[in-house]
Amino acid sequence: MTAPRLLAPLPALAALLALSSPTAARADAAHDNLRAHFERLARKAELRRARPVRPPLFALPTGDWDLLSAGIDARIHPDEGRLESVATLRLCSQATHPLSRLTFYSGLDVTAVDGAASFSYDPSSWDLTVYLLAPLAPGAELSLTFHTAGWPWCEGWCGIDSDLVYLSTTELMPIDPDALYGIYDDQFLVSCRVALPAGFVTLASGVAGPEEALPDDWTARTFVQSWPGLYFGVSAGRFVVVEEDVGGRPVRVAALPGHDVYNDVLLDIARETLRLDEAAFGPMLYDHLDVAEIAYSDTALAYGLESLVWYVEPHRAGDPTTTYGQLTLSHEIGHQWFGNMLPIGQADAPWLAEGFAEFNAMYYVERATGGPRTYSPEEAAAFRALHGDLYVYLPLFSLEDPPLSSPEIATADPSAYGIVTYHKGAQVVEALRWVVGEEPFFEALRGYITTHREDPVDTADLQDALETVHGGAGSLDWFFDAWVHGRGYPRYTVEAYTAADPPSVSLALDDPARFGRMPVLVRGEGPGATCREQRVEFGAADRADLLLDCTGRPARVRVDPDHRFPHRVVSHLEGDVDLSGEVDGFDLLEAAWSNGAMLWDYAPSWNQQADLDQDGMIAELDLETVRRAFGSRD
Amino acid sequence: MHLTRRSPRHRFPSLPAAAAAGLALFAGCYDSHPTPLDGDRPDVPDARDDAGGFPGVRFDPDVEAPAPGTLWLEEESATGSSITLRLMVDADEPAFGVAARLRWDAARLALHGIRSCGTFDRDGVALLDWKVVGSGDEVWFGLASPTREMPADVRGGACAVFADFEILGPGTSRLELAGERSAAVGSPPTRYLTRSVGGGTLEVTR
Repeated sequence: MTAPRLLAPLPALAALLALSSPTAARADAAHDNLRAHFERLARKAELRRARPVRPPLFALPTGDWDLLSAGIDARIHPDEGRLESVATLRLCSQATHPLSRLTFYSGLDVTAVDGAASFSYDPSSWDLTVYLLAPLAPGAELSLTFHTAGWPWCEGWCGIDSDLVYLSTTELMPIDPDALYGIYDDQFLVSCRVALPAGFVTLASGVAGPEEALPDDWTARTFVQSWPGLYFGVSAGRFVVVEEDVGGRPVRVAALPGHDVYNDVLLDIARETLRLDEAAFGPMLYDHLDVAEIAYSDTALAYGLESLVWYVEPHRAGDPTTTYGQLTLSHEIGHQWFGNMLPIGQADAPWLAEGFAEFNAMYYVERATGGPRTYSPEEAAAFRALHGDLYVYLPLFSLEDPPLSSPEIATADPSAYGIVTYHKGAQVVEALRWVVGEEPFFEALRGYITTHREDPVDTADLQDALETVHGGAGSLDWFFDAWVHGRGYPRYTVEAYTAADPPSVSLALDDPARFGRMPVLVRGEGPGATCREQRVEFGAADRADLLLDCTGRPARVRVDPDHRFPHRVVSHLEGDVDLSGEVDGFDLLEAAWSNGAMLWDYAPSWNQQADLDQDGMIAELDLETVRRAFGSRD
Repeated sequence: MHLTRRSPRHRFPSLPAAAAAGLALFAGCYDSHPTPLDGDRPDVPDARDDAGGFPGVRFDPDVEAPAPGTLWLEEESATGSSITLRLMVDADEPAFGVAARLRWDAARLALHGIRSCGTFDRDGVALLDWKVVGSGDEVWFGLASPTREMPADVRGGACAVFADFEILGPGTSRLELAGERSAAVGSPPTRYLTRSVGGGTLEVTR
């Protein structure tokens, strides 16, 4: 659907590049940075023209036009909670017939449209219709300049207050972000200049130019969007900022006075996340990373824009040294690679951004050696298990189960969307790491990132990269068919005979056709036993019997002990929490330790195998089951 | 769509009825097996008085484990027709609980009960369950701290449970702690804090 396009200088950038300030070694450097960035984008665009065009998945909701670029000049009045913007949009017709009018959707009042014959705007419906001076031929391009003013509307992702401003660029031009969501495969460039009165610290996405002094003590900041990304914005506030050079780039944390109690902790987490991520995925694209406060809403805890993380009121969100705080920030920083450096090329594959970002959070828990706290391997495994189990318990909530990569995901119930995309997605990434192997997996990811950097990706791109290091083309078809394009998870029923001589275990798999090739580790454990991990692949069989390879007698069996993929593991023997083949004191201890844990509380004490009645919470009913079965054997 | 990490709580509908029922039951847990407390015993110092110590009880400050990180049996008291044993535990880390199995000669001994020593249930709410299995010559039991946040300090050795036996007749009887099925566990309980039993066999002679 993408047509050849010209990378004409955008209005705000042109203004910036035209500046000739004598102040300015620093400003010159920033200008050079912007210029180099645009040159890079132009080269990239040339390359993209040679690529086959992907058809859109959905009908365009925008009235048959496609956005090529936007140049925005905005002036924000924090004390009045409003803004004025002039946005020049370069558009391309996607219609097969001449267009005499174009339709838009704008939450901001549109006061004028330059380059059009006329327009109509209905502030109650936000419908904007622009009547063209002449019919627009199929594939032809057109520039229109919109003058807007008013109070932006959004669900938690924008705000203008007397001391705090945060806006994504979609709030600065007459385009509804949901409409852009429908044209994922598209790319558009944004150059944006935001002017504010004195006293504000401005932090911006992507590549930023220097501050520009304006009359009456106002200042402006110009920044350009990387490529192509929807996740681009600006934060401004009367911030308290902590800053540190991390790997040669500034990392800043900004919060309002009195809200800055966790600035140092957030900086610690950001530093540790960057250390881990750059080793795993390669260098971050941007020359800075900012974490800035936004106001509370019940929409989200944080957002991962390009080079800018929005974090909801840290002083109220609670101590970020808690696991949840660390997961939140490391998730958003993960978006610098997944979702921003690699935009999603398919509307039906948001897991390529959210699943990988959430995997990044799990990876942080597993690997952090610095930052405010570290985690044991058991804790890391417990967090992986939580992610898988949130998905495994979907039926409990009567939620649908759309495949990770499918048209259904885009229209799924928000709860199902979240659980599948974020939690199943993260565990499927972990499962790929398990199947492909640690080193090849990260090697493949680095190749995937390098190859597709700043270019929309889809599920096939990921599969290609992994198969390159794994077993060649098609070698992971079974995995993607089962986990990405399919639904469900494997269920293992375990009969353990740990008291037998030799000890043994039998596993039954409910769906070998889909999950028979999924390798699963089985391990005996016991206070006096040393056991070797045993890898089981069912193939076409629905049952696997194996002797446990132990020195000493094991007291229990663990199936997928490190929680590498979503599954349900149940004992053949009721009450046998630890899969020993006997219901004894160890089962009581496991159930007692997890007692009170609820899946939806994200509790580290959650243990799927202790939730014997499978109601999503471990409670007295589960303990009672253990007590009732106490002393029984398989 | 925006790239964000949302609270998973927001993604769930309200609690299903079964979960809500379970929540109500949860309020009454941990009390179905009340265990006698020994906190008032003069010979049981309260380890919570120790600066920085975990709540727990040292049965005897002079006790010495047969080896570090072990479970073992000792005689607590005896009469001509009965004997009370104590299961002792030593670990470097705080223990969430103990699971163990004890075997004996059913022709000479009869188990009357398993009681907590108090180490794991200073508030009287620890969870204890036990069952005699097989042909009456083996007991399986587990004893857990009341909460995950209150593990017991068992460094140097602490008493976990008392086992009260009736001695059925004259002669020597053997009691054996099953090493491969007995351990103290930490937090999470997949961590075995003890790897062996020391002094796992006790002879009782009448």
